[in-house]
Amino acid sequence: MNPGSGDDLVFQLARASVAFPSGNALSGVSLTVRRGEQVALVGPSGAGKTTLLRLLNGLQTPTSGSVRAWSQDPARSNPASIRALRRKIALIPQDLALVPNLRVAQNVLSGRIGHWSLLAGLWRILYPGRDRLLEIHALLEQTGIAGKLYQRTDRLSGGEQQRVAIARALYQKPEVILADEPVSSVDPARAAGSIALLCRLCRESRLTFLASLHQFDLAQAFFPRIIGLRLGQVLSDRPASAWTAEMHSQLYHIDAPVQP
Amino acid sequence: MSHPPSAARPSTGLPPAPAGRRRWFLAGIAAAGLAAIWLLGIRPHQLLLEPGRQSVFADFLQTALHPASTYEAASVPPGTPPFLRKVALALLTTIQYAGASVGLALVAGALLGFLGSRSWWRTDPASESRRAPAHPARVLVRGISLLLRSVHELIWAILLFAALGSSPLVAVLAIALPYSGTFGKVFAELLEEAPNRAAEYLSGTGASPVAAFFIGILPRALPDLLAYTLYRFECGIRSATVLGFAGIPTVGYYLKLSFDSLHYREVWAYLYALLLLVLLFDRWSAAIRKHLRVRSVL
Repeated sequence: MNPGSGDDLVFQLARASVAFPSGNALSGVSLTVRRGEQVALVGPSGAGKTTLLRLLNGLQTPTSGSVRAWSQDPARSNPASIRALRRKIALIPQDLALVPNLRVAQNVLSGRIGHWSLLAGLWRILYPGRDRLLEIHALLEQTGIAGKLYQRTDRLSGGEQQRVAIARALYQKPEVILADEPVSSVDPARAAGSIALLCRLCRESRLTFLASLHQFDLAQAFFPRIIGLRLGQVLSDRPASAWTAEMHSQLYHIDAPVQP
Repeated sequence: MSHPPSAARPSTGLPPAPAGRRRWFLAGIAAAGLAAIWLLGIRPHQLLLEPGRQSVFADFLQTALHPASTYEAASVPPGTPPFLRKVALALLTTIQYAGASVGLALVAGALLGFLGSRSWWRTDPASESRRAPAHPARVLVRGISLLLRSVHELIWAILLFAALGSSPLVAVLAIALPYSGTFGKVFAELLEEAPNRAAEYLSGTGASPVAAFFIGILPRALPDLLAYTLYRFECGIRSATVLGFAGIPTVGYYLKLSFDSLHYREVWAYLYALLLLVLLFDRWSAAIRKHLRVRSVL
């Protein structure tokens, strides 16, 4: 591994900090993510996991330090190039951000809206066409809810809606998927199922996958690499197998002093 | 049993109570209303004390129980259609005027509403704050909406009839202009109130702000927009009726003719026909709204 040389570099953060009026969300975070990696961000609530993910596609601007996505700086991009960047990065937000009163197929279709002209996008939401419906149906088969293609989205259970969001992210044809606490709203058994599915689908499509999780056991079970965040700093960034019980307890123990 | 000292003195250490200004505001409005009634010289108990007023009122109510089903006049010119057929035709004309006016206003008002909402002008819905500063174009559109709706349709009719002459098109414009302004205001507000998380998401995946508006926000607001449109159509029936008093052959026109001839039973027949129409329309729009709560909106 010689950092900075290969074309497979996806994200590169150098001492990135984000300051909010209420305090620092991130301070001096440096890390590198390569193509095809599967990385879990773990840590207690308020550790800065969401802010870190938002830095990667320019939803958040760093107060200091630098962020690079494919050597592009999201914070210093014009609207056209930031949109081009965001088309390559699919999102699975914690609240899923689906349109509840549209059909499942329409929500999945909306993942590719950024790739189309305005009129084409609006037309395809109303009349997707057979080929697109077949593609969406195949994705729903992979995520296990093929029978729900024409259902109104808010008629689905929480776990099923999560799979709509996964299908929507895949339909975007991204190079990266960023998932922010993707399974926080379902029970542990379904959570493990969804994470396993996401990791498998990303591996099959050679997608880079970053997920923030607050369940450490899920991270350890499914992700090769785990980054532990605490109080806006990277506490530890290493392969899942190298995480010790001691590091784990230091991560979640609020009163423990942060090791520099 | 003795309480601990802290519980014995509950009044100390309480945070200051919130001001509770709203109740005084509401009480103030009620007091202003009563004062206005007094200042206008309104004395409700004197309503029926005028000599002879009570018998006129009783007669009027009496005719309400016996609405006309044929002409009250002793003779009508030959070739005059039966009375009930005339009522039905007047209703149909009223519906046509309401439909044309509200349809036209809907197109213009949707445009004013979209361009007048903050959601439309957000350049990056994903990272911008929801209360972004007002875009100058939005302020202009809001101003046009205000201008259009600040004049009542009856006044628009008087102005337009004077300027352009009396014709069905001018009558439709007289209703459509203020209705466009009302649509513009209400649509803009409904669109701003609609949850915009999906628009933020779409913008975060590279969608243009306008695409994010149409796919992320409009479907969320659509049931409310449609319910309001149906309500405005009901208003349109009333407005078209009132324009009959200015000579447009809607129910109002015939209502006025019967009224001027002192044919009160015919008046009641027209009023009941209007009531039935609004009632049927209300049931129909309720069914549409129910449908939208369970089915996909697009």
